[in-house]
Amino acid sequence: MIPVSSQAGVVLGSFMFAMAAVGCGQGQEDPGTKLGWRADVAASPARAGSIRPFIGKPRPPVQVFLAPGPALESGVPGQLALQVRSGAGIGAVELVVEGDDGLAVVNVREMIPGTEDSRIAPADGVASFEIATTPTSGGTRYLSGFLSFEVNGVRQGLPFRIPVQVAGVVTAAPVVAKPDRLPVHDAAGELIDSMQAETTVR
Amino acid sequence: MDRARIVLQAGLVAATCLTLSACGGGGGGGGGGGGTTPPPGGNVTVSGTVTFERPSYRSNNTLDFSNLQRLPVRGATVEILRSSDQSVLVTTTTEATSGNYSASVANTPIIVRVKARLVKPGTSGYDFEVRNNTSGNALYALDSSVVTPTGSTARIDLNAATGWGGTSYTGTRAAAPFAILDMLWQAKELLQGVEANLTMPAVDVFWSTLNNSADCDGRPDPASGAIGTTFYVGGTIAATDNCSATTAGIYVLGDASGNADDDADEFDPSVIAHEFGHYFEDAFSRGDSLGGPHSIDTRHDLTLAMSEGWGNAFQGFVLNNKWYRDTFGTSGNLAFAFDMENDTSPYLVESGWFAEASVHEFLWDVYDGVGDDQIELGYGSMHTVMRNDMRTTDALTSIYVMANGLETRNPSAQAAIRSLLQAERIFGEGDFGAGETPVLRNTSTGWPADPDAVPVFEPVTLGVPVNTVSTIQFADPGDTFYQAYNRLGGRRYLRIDLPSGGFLRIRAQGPVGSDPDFSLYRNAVDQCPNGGACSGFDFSASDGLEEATYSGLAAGTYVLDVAECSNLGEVVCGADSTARGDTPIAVTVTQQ
Repeated sequence: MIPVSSQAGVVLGSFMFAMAAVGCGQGQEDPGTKLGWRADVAASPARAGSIRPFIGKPRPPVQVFLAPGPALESGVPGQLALQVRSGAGIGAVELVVEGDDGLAVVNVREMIPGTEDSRIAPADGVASFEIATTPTSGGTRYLSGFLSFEVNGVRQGLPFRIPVQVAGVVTAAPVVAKPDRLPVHDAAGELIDSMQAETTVR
Repeated sequence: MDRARIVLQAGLVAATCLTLSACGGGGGGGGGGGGTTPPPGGNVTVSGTVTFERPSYRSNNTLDFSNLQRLPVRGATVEILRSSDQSVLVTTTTEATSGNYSASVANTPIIVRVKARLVKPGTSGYDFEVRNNTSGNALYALDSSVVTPTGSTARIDLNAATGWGGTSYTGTRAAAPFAILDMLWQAKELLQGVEANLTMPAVDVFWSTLNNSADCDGRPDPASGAIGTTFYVGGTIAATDNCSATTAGIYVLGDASGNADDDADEFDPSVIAHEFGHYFEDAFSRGDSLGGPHSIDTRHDLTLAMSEGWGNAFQGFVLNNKWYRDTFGTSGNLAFAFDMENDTSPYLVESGWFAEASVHEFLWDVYDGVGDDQIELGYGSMHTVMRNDMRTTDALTSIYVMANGLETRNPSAQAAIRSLLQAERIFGEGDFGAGETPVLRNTSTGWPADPDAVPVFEPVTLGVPVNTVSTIQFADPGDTFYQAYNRLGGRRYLRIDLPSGGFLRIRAQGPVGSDPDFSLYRNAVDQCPNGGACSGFDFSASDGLEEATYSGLAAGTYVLDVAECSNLGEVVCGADSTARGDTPIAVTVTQQ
């Protein structure tokens, strides 16, 4: 059994599981995080008129996603089912999970590897984690973290950020990051983000 | 912060604290400089070297901030400003190899400003800039301290530091825009190395320390930094009520804020060059890719496999390195990396005409030296195909077009090319992949066989129904948003040869309750049906029937893209659609 703690940064325990080869899609994808849109993009004459979302960087062949489950409600303890799927035959998995403001993660527990995917032979391919949480705010919260694993003896990893819908009043203040610097207009009127150089004068 | 952090397995969270000799972003001291006393009112020759820092890679492909490289900023715009009013006294550029600059200016207190801009007008020109999308798209610039020359010459060296403080960023991340700019320079060098007069359309790269993996209603919001991932987009995506507009360019993650999902790509040359490869497709070639999420072990639509495999291989050409490397974490201490030479090691991946891994492995083998294979055609061979055959093919852009072009233009290498393709389980010939063998189950990745995958482009005989099946068996389970949007079999392709052009009627019949849709392309340009929307894919009555007529078609070869709309996910068919799964569709094309 994996010991649990709600203290930030506490090492909870150790485990390893082998993930046999299974089919999978791109890493860290989740329906809610997909970047796709009906674009008015004329990126290329190619396939003009077709939908052409972003052309992004390749993802590791490992997926981290939330399985469908009961809706969360602000102020009510609930659970999320995080699943890790890989077609790469990964092992020695390490998982770090964080909730954002308004989504306090209080416990993570490894479940029996899932078998619901018809492409996956029983008892292999999917690892499931039960995440206990008590949301303190409604709205779109985020569960984020990273996964580290070994594949054919090589350590690899990927970050993930998964939106979680929580019913209830939004009380968590939106995070508005401050810019590092304020831009300035140069003498020609061009907007410049000026950064200081290490200057050596001789 | 109401944040809990759960860590399973020791070792990772106790992140190694790197000792680091890197300097912060602070500027050095200003003051006097120079040699002999200049004549009153005379000019002073100001020269120096502009550098930026880049962390080295460890042997495990993660970043090592304790081992910084100091590299020249090449070809960047240098302005020497009068410090009192910031007016530009002179503009020059850094040299192409050394990062040196030199200019003669009036003897007055000055600032040397280096803009993250590579620009050259005219033939063989280019215009690349690195801008801050969370700060009004401001152009990044590196400024020296104020220097008052005390002689007839003054040497002023500028260095863009990483800002890394040992365990986190503590200073200005000035190196980042110039690391990106350097990749643009290297990519330009590759292209003009094989086509000296190539003139490159302007493209901007947008990077910010705030660029992170969140999104805005499923799309990027550059103004806030919620860009989702590093990506290329060739046109403007209009603003919505909630999300800012996305202008054309390459958007790069810069998130090293100390959270578990940190991902910054400025020191990942592979990622920048991969996206530049997509710019190349748009600017100089043709890419019919559908876009969307992708991976090296997935069975994709052949157009996406070509485009992403090209991007992976292209970064290898730029860097002359068989590795694709993408680091994560605040310090880049995690990596996703694969070796294009060694069957995309360490991963087991898909092989075939629908696999981006097969495409980049093939292209890399064509590029690299004779050793493990019997071919070395170099980048120029593929550049030529991309610039010519890929642009004009009657088929869709795919590995078949690349292979056909290479074979045609390099007949002596045909046997070696075929051998490489067969090693990737690619057997079809010509632009349409004629004679391709069935797609079998992959016991390594677990993907099932696809009995309807071949012919890749099913030939149509006018008046005779063609039966095909749209499938979601290669979609990610539970992915209702994308389903089989860019996966093998979501769409099927038919080839229609019209010797005389003219009128065409197309009828697609599926089961009751299905929503078959299609689009007709000629050279990838959507042919608009009479009285209908150009894009044939939309959520519509589920009567199982779709019909359209086309008039005034030119003689030639057309490609019909056929799918069950719901199988293409909410991204195409809307939130009300539910994927049907395997859906037989009978397509009849007539000229009557």
